[in-house]
Amino acid sequence: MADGNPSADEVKVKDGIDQNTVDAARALESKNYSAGFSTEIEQEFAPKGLNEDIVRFISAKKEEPEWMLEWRLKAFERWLQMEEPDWSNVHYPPIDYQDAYYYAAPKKGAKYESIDDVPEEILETYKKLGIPLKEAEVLLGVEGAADSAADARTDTDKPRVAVDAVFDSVSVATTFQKELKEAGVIFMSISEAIREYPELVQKYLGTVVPQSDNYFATLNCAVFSDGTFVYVPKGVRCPMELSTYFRMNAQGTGQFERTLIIADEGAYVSYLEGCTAPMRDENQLHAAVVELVALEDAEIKYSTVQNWWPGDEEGKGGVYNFVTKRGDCRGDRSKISWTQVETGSAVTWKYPSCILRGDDSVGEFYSIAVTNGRQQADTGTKMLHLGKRTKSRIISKGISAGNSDQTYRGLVSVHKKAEGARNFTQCDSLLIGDTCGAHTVPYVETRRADAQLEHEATTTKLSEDQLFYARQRGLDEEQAVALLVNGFVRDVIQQLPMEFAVEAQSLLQVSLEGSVG
Amino acid sequence: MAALKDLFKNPTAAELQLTERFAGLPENPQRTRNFEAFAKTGLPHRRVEAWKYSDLRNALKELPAELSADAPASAFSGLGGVSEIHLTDGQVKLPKGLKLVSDENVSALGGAEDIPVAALSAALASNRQALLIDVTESPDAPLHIVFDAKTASAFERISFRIREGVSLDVFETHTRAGGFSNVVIEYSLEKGAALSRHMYQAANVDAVQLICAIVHLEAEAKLEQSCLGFGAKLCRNETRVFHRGEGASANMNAAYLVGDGFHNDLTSLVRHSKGGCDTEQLVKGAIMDGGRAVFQGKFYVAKNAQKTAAEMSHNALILENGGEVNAKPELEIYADDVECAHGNTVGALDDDALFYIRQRGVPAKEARALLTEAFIAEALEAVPNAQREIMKDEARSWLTARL
Repeated sequence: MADGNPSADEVKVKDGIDQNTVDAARALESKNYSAGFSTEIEQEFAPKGLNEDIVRFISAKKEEPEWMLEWRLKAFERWLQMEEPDWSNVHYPPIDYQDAYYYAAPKKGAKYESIDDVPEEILETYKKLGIPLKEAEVLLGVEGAADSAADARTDTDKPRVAVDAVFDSVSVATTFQKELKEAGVIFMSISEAIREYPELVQKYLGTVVPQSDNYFATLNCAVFSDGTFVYVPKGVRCPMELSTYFRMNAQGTGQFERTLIIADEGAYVSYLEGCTAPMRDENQLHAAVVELVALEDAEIKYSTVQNWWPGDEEGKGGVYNFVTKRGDCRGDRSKISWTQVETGSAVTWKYPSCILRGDDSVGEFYSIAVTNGRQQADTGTKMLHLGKRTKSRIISKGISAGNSDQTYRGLVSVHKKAEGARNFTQCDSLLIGDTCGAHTVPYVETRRADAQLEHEATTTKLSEDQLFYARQRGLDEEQAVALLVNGFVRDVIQQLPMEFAVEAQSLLQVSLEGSVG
Repeated sequence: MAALKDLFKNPTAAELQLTERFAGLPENPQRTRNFEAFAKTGLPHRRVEAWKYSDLRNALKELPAELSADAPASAFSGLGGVSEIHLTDGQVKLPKGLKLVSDENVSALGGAEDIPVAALSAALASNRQALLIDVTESPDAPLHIVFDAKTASAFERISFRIREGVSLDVFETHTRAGGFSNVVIEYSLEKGAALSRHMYQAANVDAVQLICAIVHLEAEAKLEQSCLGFGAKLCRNETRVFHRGEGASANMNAAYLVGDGFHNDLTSLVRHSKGGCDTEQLVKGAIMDGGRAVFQGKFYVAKNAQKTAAEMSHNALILENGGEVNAKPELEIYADDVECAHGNTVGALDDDALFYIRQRGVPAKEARALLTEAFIAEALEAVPNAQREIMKDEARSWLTARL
């Protein structure tokens, strides 16, 4: 802040709040948004607005089978009868659903044979996002480059990441397909999967988030343009991290991607999702649906770094992020773990959830959310305990700065048959300055005598034993707490290949000292 | 009448009956305003966020015609050294230091739109003139207010103004045989005033019972509150505290025991509008199969309410599978230099503790009753000795009869 930002420097912070935390939050102010450029590229749009024809148009563009079109139309019909929800603690002007494009794609199709065919503009885009050249080749799906990059990565013993890059409404590239195929893993854009594995898609699509689940999910069902499909077969441990990189580029478009991940019996997959968007004056709508299915003994780890354009300091522009994410632990002993680092979006409305259906299944939710400027976030999770001895853990950390407002909203529900269910919830909020707000709205519903549910909002109540252990190794208390709360998150985020992982990491250095509850 | 009815969107049978009742009362602009405030929401139901877990519209489809049984006995009656007042008496006899005032504006209810059922009570209160009691000096003996109206539907409202530096000790008994009762009680504490308020609530299983208290605290005023409640078909016991002056403090505890067919809703909202105010809240309860307990607590801290210290804790024991607990401990904070915490736990009795007691020769049933009683008693510690012993006896006999 040497170049002087007097207003920001004047923010008085409470004694005991770590200066690093203040700096970390400040680094996220909109004027520091590094992914805010837009790419000039010839694009193809669907006509503006939303009606049945647009739904048909999208379906036709994707060369979808008849059943898929019918599915979309059914959702669209349902959507017309629904009302936009207003219970969350966010405020924004009414959205004109007719004033947006529901489909935008780079004009020259999706896949490129060699790096020379890739439009310079798209190359530039990924370069500017700070992806090293070798990875950029991988990201762009140039045949051959993927293999060489894979070799290079193997040599250095670094974890490898296969990437599906979604540019506006289409997936432009999916890497490492060959190697994944050898392992039996299906990793492709969902539009390809609908064509190539219709029976798998049909079997699972909409089984976790039903068509009429909520207003935004239903809209997504009707108009979703692309997204990622992952199927990990029985007993396979996916040999590398899978990742989707969402880039919203075109002006006036909404992005509606759909992700479906299935881990068959005993399978394991770790999936990362990253998002950025250019700085635009208007508000862009992002309404995604993510469905995860974990069968017996399977495990899915889903991590998100969400950095959509948050709008400028006055609250102009920015992405409306209305996302439905839900995982279904369908089999016994399955596990789903959500990790999210949320720094972007003007308005966020998002509750990654777990349905703990199988006996002994486990759900986890780790979240760090930072709001600044005029951002508003209403986010949290739902843990629905249906099976016996199901366990869930929620760790949520919110930091509000500027004029932003942040709400943690979480539900823990224990059903009648969930014998011996167990939940631990901890949510901490930190306010930087006195013009922002931090709110906590946990819901706890239970009907079992043998369920054990704990909700805490203080930092001192971490496991004393673990703290003692960490401190014995020479860490001071603050470091020990940070280590325990963030251990898992840090682990995942360090594996992100994207440049903004650095941002995420710096966030993890935030201290909880001075948190308000 | 027609115009009044039109205030509702698709009125239910009960709402129409309420409208009829209101139309039969002498005209009073403040009461009309209160009724209009109620009509905006109507009888709240589960789609109204604040009533998500207590569906009043469903529990009260029609106004009950008559009371068929006797109400549970008033636990505090018969204790000496207390001035007892029954709101149903035509003449309320007040001890020294308390004075009934008549004030035309007393029918107005601030913020009525936010509290639809309190607004309803204020609109329909049976006493012609709303009761405003001015407390100008600390009375010699505590006051015992008995809310035990014998009518099938009862609407009662009473307000206290506690003058600067004055203290008032109040016991409230809320007992109902059945039917529908709706009580709103206001306490306004001037600078440095103190109120200690302890409640006992019990009702038969078909009663619908609403109790709403609104407490205003000016600078350095003090509220000390506890409650033992057993629920009803639907019982909602709501407390709203407004910290309006610096250094005010509130300590509000509650214990509940909820049996088969009963529903007990404890809801509270504490608004901290000035700096340096303290709030402490401890709620403990136990639930049997078929019982339903709701705890909704909210601390609101306004932007300039720096140095607020607020702590909320709710601990529930589910004694049998099928007992249901719904909790929503909520924080809404706009000031950065505050300490606010909330904790919520739900679980079963500690096996080790049970084992320990049984090893001492106590039968299993008794051991469970003993541990449960000790568990909830923590929330009753601030009650004066004599009344606390009565509350604990009630809790004990309730537990022994059921475990």
